[in-house]
Amino acid sequence: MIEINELTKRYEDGVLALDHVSYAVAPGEIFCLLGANGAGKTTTINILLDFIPPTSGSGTINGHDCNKFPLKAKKYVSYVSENVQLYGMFTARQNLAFFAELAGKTGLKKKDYDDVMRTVGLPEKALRMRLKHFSKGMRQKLGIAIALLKDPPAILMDEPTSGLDPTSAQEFLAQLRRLREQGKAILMTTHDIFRAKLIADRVGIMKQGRLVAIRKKQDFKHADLEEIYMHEMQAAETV
Amino acid sequence: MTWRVIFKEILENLLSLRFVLSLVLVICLFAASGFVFVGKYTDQSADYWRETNKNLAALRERAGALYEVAFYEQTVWREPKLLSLCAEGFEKTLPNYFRFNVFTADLPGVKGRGNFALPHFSDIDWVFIISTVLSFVALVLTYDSMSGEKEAGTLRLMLANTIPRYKVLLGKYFGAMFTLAIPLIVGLLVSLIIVIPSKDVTIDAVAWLKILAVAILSLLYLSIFVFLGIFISSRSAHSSNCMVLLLVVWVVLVILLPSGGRIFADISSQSPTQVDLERRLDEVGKEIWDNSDKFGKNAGSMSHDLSWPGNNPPARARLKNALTDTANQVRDDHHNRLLAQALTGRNLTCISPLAIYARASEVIAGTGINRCADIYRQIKEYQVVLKEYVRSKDLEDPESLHLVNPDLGTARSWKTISHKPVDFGTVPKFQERDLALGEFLKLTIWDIGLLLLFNLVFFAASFVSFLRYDVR
Amino acid sequence: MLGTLIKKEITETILDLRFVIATLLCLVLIPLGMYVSIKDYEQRLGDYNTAIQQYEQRARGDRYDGGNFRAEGYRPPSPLCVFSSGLKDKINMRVKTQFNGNYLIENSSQDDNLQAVLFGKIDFTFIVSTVLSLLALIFTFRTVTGEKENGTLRLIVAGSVPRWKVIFSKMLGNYIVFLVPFLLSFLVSLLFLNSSDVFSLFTLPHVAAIFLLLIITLLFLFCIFNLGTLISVLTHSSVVSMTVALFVWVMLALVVPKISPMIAQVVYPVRSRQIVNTEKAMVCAGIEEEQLKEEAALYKKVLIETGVGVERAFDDEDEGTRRARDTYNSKKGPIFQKYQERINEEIKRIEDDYTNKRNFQAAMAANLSRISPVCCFTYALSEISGTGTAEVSNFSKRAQQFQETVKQNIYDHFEFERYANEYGWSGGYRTEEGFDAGKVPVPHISNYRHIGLAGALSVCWMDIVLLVLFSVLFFAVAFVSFLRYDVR
Repeated sequence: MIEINELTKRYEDGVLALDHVSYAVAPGEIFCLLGANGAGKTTTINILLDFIPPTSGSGTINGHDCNKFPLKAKKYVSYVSENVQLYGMFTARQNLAFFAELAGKTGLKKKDYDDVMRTVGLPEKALRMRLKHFSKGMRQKLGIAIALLKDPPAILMDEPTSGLDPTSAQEFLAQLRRLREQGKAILMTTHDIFRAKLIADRVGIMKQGRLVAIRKKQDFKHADLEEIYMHEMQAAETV
Repeated sequence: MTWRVIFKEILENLLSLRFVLSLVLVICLFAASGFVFVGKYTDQSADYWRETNKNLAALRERAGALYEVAFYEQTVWREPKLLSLCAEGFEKTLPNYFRFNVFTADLPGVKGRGNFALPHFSDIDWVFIISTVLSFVALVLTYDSMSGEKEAGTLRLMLANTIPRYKVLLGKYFGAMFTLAIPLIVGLLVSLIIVIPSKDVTIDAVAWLKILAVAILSLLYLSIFVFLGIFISSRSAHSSNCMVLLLVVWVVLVILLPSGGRIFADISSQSPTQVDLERRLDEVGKEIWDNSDKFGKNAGSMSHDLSWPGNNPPARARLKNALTDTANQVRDDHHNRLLAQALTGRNLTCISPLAIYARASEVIAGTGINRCADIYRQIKEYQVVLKEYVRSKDLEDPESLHLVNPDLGTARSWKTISHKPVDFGTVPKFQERDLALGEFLKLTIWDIGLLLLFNLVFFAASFVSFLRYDVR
Repeated sequence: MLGTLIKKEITETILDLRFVIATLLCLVLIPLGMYVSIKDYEQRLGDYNTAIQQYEQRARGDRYDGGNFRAEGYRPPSPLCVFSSGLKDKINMRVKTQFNGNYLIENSSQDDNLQAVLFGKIDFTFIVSTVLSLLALIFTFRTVTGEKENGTLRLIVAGSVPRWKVIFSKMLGNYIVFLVPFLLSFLVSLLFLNSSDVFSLFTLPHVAAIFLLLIITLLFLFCIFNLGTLISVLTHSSVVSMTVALFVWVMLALVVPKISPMIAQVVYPVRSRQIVNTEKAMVCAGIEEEQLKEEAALYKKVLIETGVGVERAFDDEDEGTRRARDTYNSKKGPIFQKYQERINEEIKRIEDDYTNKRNFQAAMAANLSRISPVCCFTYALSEISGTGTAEVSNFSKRAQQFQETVKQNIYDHFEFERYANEYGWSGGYRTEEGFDAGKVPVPHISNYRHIGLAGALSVCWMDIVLLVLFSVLFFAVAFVSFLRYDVR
């Protein structure tokens, strides 16, 4: 569903953000991208969403090239961003409605909104609350709700658990599991090794723009993912 | 999909503090402008009718002798315009009365009503509210249209969908325009509601059309600032930087450039002075007197006693006519040069959309310097008509010498112009004419074009800028 | 610690885009405005000199002819008008005296000022009150809210820094930084001023006035800075504080100045100077008509009594008519006196009435607008520059004096002999015995003194006090509010 093929990005100031990165995320799979700040995780997502063009290589979503045919590709993906303020003067429902309609989902009824709020763990009465009164965790959940309403085959998530308290994070993981069962392909960037271990089917470790290792779930299920991570990082240094 | 964005923009704006403040402010200003206008207009109308009737009454008296009609110094006042509510066009300071007789016309003069000690600052008309306050509001509404959404992260969310960037841009533009239209239209209505019940005010169909034209022109003008706001908003990631830049641009475009017209005018040419005029008049007068024999023997001397042999009435008449004609030409020339210089200066300020907008509104409202120049022109035409009337009526009188010339003394003593009475009803009277609708269009077509050009430029700029805007 | 905070404020501001823009604007606009004003003043001075020359020429010929001679007095333009154009385009610049005691004060600049009419004035006052006040608000509107959003406010207040030091440092730091480009541009404009031929900068009254102007400007800027800081303290997000700051500016700098004269005009309308001149002329004409009637009646009586006969009223002089006229002249004294007094009274009445009404309306408009520091500043500067209402009153007084002087020196030396009957009159001015009009120099308003600092201050002290009050008020409220400001 999501394919990254020899993706390279060099910025104007010479910084090599991505260096010939290749991997794929299949439907029903959760792929976590781990790495330090500046490793290239967010850059990958930005390229997939056509916010910046790649220097070489390509990313495709459902077979459509993300940079040659961005509008086609974006039809099949939704995006959960880190630290989104959303529209403060609008209610949750107005925010949901706006992004749903942009996503092409017209004719949504109250039931649909109630359902999605319940799914992400927000009380239904929050639909009528203005966003500026939402806490960070609530906003994060609403961001996920926005993505869910679109109901696409692929989801891109950028640091979705940053700043969530443990209970909310747990709920979030449960949500991800449900999505995986529905057959969605999920690409998630994170620093949270602990939760990555709990949820990922595969883990990709990035360092300074290179994908230095991919590990399957069985590799780290009974091992300490953190140790593996540190080991791979060091190994990458000696190369 | 664009409509989705438009509705979202409108709703977001309506819920914001800045919109509420703007709406209240603009409505109050329009209301104030309406109130003040009613008071002013009533007074001005009373003055105008009093003076005009005085003038007509005096003309009627003079109809007792044809030559008196010719020499009577008529004073024509500028009619107060209803649409000075829209565009005052410096009505208080531009010439508002014109004195002339059949042969010569003085340069236009000013008899003011206001207390000169008062206005350090000038009046509020619609053009001021729209060109200064509403353009400011336009910037306040759009300065963070892109940068604000980027900071909030919602721009990313929007563009993660299948909506192309240009639709987002158009959605923002139309959303802002619809939002701006609300205080504009409500304000105009409030102002009109205050003005209409007044007994001196009648708005006919043509006036309504002109008001509509001004409203459309205003939207065209405000659109420039909306594009400007969106353009600058997509040049920076920080809203406060955008605001500062926009404020500077606004100050330059709206406050500094229009005032700077004086500098441009001074640079472009020297202003002809009263001293120059009088010197020139003296010169040409002297030249003609010195060569008076060119007009015939003894043209330069005369006695009121017609039987004196040294008199040569036809030559004298030719001399006098030559004197007046050349003097008129010198005066006209002076007037035209003054006008040309002022207009050139004004044209140079048309780097600023405000100057263009103000100029076009003045033409539509029938106020301002163009109108003064036009009335002067109409008076000159009227002079010709009246002179023709005097000439033809004079020919009917066998006692007259049929030498129509500007010398009152000989008109009395020699009867160069008939002394017979005329029917007041047949005397042509001056009636101020408004420009025909087609004329309006011709005069404003350039300005409309310029405003459209500004729109196009800033649209193109915002288009290109936003397409490459970094939304991360 | 206070020093550290102030240093931080200064550094932060200098590195900001706003500082660059402010510097550019100051350095370009203030000297440019000064340059334009200087050119303007030079032209006005030229106009003044030309007008005087023309008057001299006219008067040389006319002064022998009592009937035609009218002494005129001209007011030179105030040198300091380069700082504030104030009322200068509408200010009366000429007085025309008359034999009958009626003097007319009028604007001697003609319609070559079409341009002046059409374009606004970019003078120093305008730039400071409009552009710099906006800049001042831009500098300060997010001084507190910005730091709150950055999270640095929490950090500062979490330390052992007392809150009053924080707010104090903000007020001072921003202001000090802004002063640098401003003072620099002011200096540059003074240099322009000095290099101009027509302006002698370093005479004592000028130096004192310019110094005072500078102080008032600094005071005004300080006031606006405090206002901006106040707005920042009363709000909790940059967007809101920016919106509020901008609207406050629109109200203070654009709306209030325009609305208050309008309101005053509507509430208390006053006739214009032209109409008053016309009224004075009409009243005088009316009184003169009465005088004429009485003189005609007396003349008729004398003609009958002396046996000359009414039909010979205007005949050329011979022994008979000479006798009649002498008799008549000896009797007409009281009539003349009576009417002269009446004319003087009426003129004074009209003039005083008009002055009072005009001043009242202007005062009303001014007071309404004093709610805005921008207006206080504009009035203060205009008075001190000699282009305000104080100077108008000054000239009016001088005009009256001039009329009286000319009357004593010249008009009283002409006898106006008039012989009237019910159809008209004939007569003219005859010079007094032994009086040679040619020996009297053409009268001018000599040694005209523009309103001095003391005079100006007596009129605008209110504005200066208000500026101080506003500054103190804004400062105090901001100070107190910040002590309880929610920094989270």
